[in-house]
Amino acid sequence: MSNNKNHETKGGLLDDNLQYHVQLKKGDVSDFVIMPGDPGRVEFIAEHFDSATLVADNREYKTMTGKYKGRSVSVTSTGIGCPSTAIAVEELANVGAKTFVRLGTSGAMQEYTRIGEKVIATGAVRFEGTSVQYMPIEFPAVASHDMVSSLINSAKNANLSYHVGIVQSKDSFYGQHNPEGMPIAAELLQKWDAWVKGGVLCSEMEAATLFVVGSYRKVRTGAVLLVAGDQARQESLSKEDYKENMTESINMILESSLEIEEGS
Amino acid sequence: MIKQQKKEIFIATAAVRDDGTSKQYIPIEFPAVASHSVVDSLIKASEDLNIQTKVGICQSKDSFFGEMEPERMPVAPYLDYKWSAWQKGGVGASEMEAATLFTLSHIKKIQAGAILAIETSDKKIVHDMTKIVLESITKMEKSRNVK
Repeated sequence: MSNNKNHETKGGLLDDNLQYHVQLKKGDVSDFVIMPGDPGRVEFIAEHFDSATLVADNREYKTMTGKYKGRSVSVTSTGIGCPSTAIAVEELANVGAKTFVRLGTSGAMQEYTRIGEKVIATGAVRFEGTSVQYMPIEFPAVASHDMVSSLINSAKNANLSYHVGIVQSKDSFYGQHNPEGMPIAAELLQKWDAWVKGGVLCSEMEAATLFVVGSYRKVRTGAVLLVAGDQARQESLSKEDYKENMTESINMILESSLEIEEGS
Repeated sequence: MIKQQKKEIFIATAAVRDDGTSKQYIPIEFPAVASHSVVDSLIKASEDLNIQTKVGICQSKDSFFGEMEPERMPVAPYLDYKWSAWQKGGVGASEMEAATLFTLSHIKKIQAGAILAIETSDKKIVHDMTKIVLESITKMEKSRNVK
């Protein structure tokens, strides 16, 4: 894997050829992009490709592009949360990305969602501030139907334990983990209870904006969320289990990429 | 959105919650999403029957005349502003029930989908829609038996 010197961090300086934050130009990314939150996870994901090259590394946005079973694929980290995710989706779409699949971790919200299981999101609760700067709140944050179908197929073929349904996207990590301590405790607790009653499977921080911006930019979106923690049971994945489950999730998305026609 | 599409069958994957009822069940941030398996069965059924459909997000409103004659309404600027946002978001059809149906289906733990005839009550289209729904039921039953 070699670093492309042309794309080294430019400290946010505007370059005509490069997208402002992701520092990418047309040709740098595949039409199919996997999006983890953590830039530290990019290399690990790319290790599951047949080949991969680092094409850009700026702020929270690290991008590697390569091939999986002959299909071109990229991975770009979004950083934590919806504001940076919206920037990544916009700028990647500007340089030719057409399918975006988020790969992240999440906290269980139902008794039947257990650590190690994969959640394939059909939609997301818009409990965040970014997507409302795109679309009024009544608009549904919904994943693309064909992407969800393809992810379900991959999960079935690999015999994984998975759920399909709605996830919650929030802006405050500690608002979820310590709602009682927050000045708006009553709202946080009341809404959480409502999401649970609505069957929301798990909680994370990026999907809602990915889906809403995706609808607006007319690109395909999906999300696979590994349940890594369970507040109610005080459980979380061990390091080894985390790695193994992440590998399963990565392979699931890569296999799905083969079902999406290149460039479509 | 709606005005350019004449006489089409539309399968809704989700709905804009421009309704008042679903808000009395769950906060507005919750997405009104159809059940993936129902949508899948409807799409597969229409493909098997060789009937053309469109798939996408619909808008569920509470005021019929607010859509048809928005300029007449006291809240005209609000209606126009929202309508143009839905158009930019790719919303493909406007109707009056799906958002409540989809939202409640999650709360009641049932499966829900919607198939809509756009700009028509043409008998042939209604007949085709009915065929799709009936065919999709057999697909749902089959997939349930597999489990």
